Amino acid sequence: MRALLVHLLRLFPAGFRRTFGADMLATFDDRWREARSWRLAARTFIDLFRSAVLLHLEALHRTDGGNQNRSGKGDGLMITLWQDLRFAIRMLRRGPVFAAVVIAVLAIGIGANSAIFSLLDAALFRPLPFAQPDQLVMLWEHPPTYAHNRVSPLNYLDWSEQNNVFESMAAVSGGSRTLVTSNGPERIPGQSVSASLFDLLGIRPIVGRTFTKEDERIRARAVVLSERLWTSQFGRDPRLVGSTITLDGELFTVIGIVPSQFQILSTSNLWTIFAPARKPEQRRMHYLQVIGRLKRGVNLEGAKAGMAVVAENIARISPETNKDWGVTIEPLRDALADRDVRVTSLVLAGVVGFVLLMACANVAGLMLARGAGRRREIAVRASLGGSQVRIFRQLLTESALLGLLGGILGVALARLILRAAPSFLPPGLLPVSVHLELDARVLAFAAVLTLATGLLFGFAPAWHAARTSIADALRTGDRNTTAGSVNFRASLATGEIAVALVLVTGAGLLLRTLGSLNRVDAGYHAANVLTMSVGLPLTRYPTPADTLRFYQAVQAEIGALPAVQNVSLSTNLPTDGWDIGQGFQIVGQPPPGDANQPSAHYQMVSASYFATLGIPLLRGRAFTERDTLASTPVCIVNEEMARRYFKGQEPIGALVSVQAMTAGGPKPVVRQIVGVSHQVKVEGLSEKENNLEIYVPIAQNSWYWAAVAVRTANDPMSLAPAVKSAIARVDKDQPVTRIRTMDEVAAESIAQPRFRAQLVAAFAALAMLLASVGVFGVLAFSVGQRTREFGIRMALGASTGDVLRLVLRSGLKIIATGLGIGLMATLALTQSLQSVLFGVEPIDPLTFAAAAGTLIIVAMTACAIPALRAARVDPASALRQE
Amino acid sequence: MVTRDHLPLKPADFHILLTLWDGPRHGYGIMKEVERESGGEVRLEIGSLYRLLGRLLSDGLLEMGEGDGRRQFYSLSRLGRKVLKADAQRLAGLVDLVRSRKLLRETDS
Repeated sequence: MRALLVHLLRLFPAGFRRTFGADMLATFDDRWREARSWRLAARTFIDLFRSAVLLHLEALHRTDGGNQNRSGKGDGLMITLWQDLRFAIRMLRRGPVFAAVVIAVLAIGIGANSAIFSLLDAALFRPLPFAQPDQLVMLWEHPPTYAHNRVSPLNYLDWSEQNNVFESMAAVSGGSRTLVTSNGPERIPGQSVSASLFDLLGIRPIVGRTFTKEDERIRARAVVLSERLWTSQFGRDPRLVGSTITLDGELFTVIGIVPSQFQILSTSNLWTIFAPARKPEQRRMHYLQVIGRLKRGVNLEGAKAGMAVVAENIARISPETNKDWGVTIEPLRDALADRDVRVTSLVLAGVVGFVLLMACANVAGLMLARGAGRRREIAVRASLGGSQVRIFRQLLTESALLGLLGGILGVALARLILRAAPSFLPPGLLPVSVHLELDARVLAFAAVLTLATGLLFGFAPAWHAARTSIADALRTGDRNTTAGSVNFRASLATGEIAVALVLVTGAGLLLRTLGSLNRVDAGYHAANVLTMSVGLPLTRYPTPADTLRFYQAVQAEIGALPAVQNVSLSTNLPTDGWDIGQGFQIVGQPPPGDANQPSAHYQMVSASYFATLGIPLLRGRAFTERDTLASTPVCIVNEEMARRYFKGQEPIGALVSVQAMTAGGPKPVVRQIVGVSHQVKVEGLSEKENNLEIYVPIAQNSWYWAAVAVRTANDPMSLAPAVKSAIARVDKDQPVTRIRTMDEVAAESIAQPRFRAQLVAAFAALAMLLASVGVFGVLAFSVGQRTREFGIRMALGASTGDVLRLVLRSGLKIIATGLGIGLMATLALTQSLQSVLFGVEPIDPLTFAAAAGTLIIVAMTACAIPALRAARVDPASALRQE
Repeated sequence: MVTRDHLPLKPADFHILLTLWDGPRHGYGIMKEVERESGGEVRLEIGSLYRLLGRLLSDGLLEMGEGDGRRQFYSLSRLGRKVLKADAQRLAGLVDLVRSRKLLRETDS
């Protein structure tokens, strides 16, 4: 910043700089030391710039007044630049509407681009906020058919002990805890992590310490809190560190506070120790996310080779679980920024980039039109001795000034957009570790963009104007020599139509995708269903019988509320994602071997689940209250499972061996299939492949978390307080989280496609507007220039219709050429959307036709206005014109 | 009177002179004091501050004192004191006038 200031000082008059330069720097140092912010930097920058300009203005004023005391040395270039600038300001003031339109168009373009750049940068380029982030990788198990399996505790332990390619490795698993606060019990999102995590990422505590190996060895009841939680719940009390707090009814010692910006993999405000026991069943539960830091000098390939050896070792020791299992290693950045955010930010960057190009084309068009109006002025200046270079520079200064003003306004706009961003960005789009902000990188990008746009839209018009032969311009007036600029503007407009077609078609495809997603049959019918989640602490509910008692009491308590038609409990809700997958095997079919066992989405549900969520049963029966621990173990499988594994045979009555969820690790239980349920979307509405599902009665296998679903007679949300207090009547210390209607659950699953479609559609509309303005501008201009010609034509017998057709035809020529080019570009570009489309092909004739049709209608409407004006030309007055 | 040429003072000029009434200050001191005294109303960034200081100096209302090696001190000249006093009297007169016309109720002030 200081360096920038030193440069800025050069803008000041030499005398002023000599007197005050050093003192100004000293003052700036004082101020910057006390408060540093981008706001201050920007204000200082603008103010310095303005002051320098004013000082020169005052100096000139004095010179004009005959006062000769100005020091002439060292100011030569500055003065010319200053004169250019002053002249530019005067020209802009003379046409304030023109200037305002240009600045606004540029501001929108630069603002939108800067904001999207911030997203793109956060998602793809900006280094992760950890120490030496390029050494960080993420590791997964690689079973024979799937490359990104979560890691089992024993595999993680073996990996971290046997490898020689990693400096350290850390495991992360879910670890949310209940904290009783002044507002009642609250579920605090947390993680259970190995002691190495903080050191591995280079996270320093702001108070206290983070975990040590010793904590892990003795399984310390220690907790690290986020600065956010420390502030919101404990008023930043420094004495908290070293004292104990109660989590899930157990005492934990707070050992340290980490900065609130620190987040990894999932939102978390507290961290406890994860220290698995070395028991064989710990090889079968796959729920860990594993991060590693490569040793210095080891690259990704080296790490892969090193881990392959470890994986073979494990497979030899434990072939029944790990035969043919490898390890997948990816750079952490790639693992955190998933495909969705990449595609979204790239698509958006492309779209806003196009919009900015169109904005530049429009502004260039406007400048050309104005340049044509100023031909005489420029010619006069040239004939009075103004060199071409000087005139060219003068005109370029004008556009640079416009660009600068647009850029400043654009940065302000980007700031507004980014400030509002958290409220409209779909949740989960950005990895939790990164934040959107208007940082130095975005500002630098905006500055480059500003400079580039200023040149881009200013160069051609300035060149065009400066090159004009004086003799020509003075002799012929305005008419003939403007043909070149009309042609140039026409080709700009053609390009704009082409780009607009690409964007409108892209928007059309994304909107149709959203349409198909909204029409998808999710497999359930739950218009009036309220849902919420509970997570039971192991300390208060140590056995499955305890959790089951809680669930049954909750069900009874909620069921007794008026307006409740049905209530159910289940581990998951449809479209809300896949939490538990369990291996299974059909009894009587050849066993695939443990390591190759297929897995299905494992749902533990209460008897009323199918009725509450409106999931039809195709065959057999639903669960009943008579399916208990004492009765035969039963299950219901879904359509896909019946189709794939029973191929036309009767599934009802068949036996399936499926791993049950128990605290000690998975345990195979043989269950009898009693029903086949309708196919339901598990991961979200956009799920393309049918998932396998096995439902078991919650009474035969209950787990520590569950989603409550309540079918109501009227507005489900209005029942939320009553349902919450019903749960509190069962256990007053039990918090509930994620209170949503089923419609919201489904809507959340398509938040990203909706975001993409809406944003692209908005920009496409803007593009269409810009393109229409472009075409309108060309025609209006050429009609203005050709008034005399039209007058002659009409005097010689042409009808108004003839003139109208003449103008419309030239408009149509631009539009048609643009559509042709645009169509080719669209065919090439929409392929890249393939992966985000659903229910529509990248080359969809209907969308293409609709986009082209819309564009033709809008653009032709824009043509109609100048055409009508041409048709209304009065031949007599037109001919009287000069 | 010589002071007549300088009246009325522009608000920013007035605030700058006012901060120097009690004695010399350096640039940053003036900057902070102006912002504080005007209740954040007048905010001088470096460029504007020095532009105004330059003008006040060349108008003879300010004098440049000794520096502390790093920073420069500025103080009121005799003329500056006179002008500031005269403008303050002018403003006080205006306030009396406003009061007498009952433009502001006492509770507002």
